[in-house]
Amino acid sequence: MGFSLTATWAIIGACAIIIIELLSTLFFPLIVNVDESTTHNNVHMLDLINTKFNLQNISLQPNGSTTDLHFQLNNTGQSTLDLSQCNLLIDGAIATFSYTQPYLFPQETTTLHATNLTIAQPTHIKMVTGNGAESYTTYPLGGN
Amino acid sequence: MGFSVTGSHVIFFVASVIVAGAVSGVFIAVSMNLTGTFQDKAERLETHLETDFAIINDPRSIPHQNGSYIFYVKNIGSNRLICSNQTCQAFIDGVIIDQSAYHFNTESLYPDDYAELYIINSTITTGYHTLRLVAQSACEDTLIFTIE
Repeated sequence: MGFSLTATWAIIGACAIIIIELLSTLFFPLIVNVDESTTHNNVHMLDLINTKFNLQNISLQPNGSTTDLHFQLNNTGQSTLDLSQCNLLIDGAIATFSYTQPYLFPQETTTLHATNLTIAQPTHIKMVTGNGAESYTTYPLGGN
Repeated sequence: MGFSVTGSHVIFFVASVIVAGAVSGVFIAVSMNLTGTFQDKAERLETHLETDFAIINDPRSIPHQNGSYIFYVKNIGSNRLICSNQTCQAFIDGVIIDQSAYHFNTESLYPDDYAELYIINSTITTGYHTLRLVAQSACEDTLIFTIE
């Protein structure tokens, strides 16, 4: 009877060890992965909160049958802007733009150029950064 | 008499080993199912946390081309976004749009890139509207815009 009990506990004990091994080998990597994703998400949110910029000194210049738009981008936030990841919308349509420096550090200002626009008199300009932060302005400033 | 005691002990021993084995087998099977479910759930959570996008249009000026309005969808997450009628559902003013009424200009959107979502003009009238786009991992974004 004692031997039967010992054998039973031995089997259940071995089973418990297998279960603990299964759970620990699976759960630890899962917890680490989810934790990494959560951290990444938090960093993204912080980056978004710290990204602030505005568009200023907008000027238009006729260029034959097209128009060139020049404006200054002022980084007023605490994050560095990667201009290659930014998108420019002029009157609702995505437009390409050129820049002299690829990164804009906090409190720096740079001039961007959107050339050969088919719109003669653009009125709404919007810029979106890689992390989704946006700035919107009208031209002439304060207009609709 | 001696044999019957030994025989009953053997029977008890075999029975207890069978019962213990069966119980252990059930526990292990349940644990394996549980770990599989947790793994799926954790992977979905991970994907959800790393997937994000934004509709970046100018809400006052939605461009249109060839009978469709164009909406710009930017990948602001760190995962590749699958853009198709099967993985993304579009709602205008809370009503789901038929899959034949919209399409993307690309099937796959890498981080920091943008895709164009074409919705045919007939589904959107003039006035104020709300576009809600739901993509993979139930990530969604909403844009309130006007058509003049």
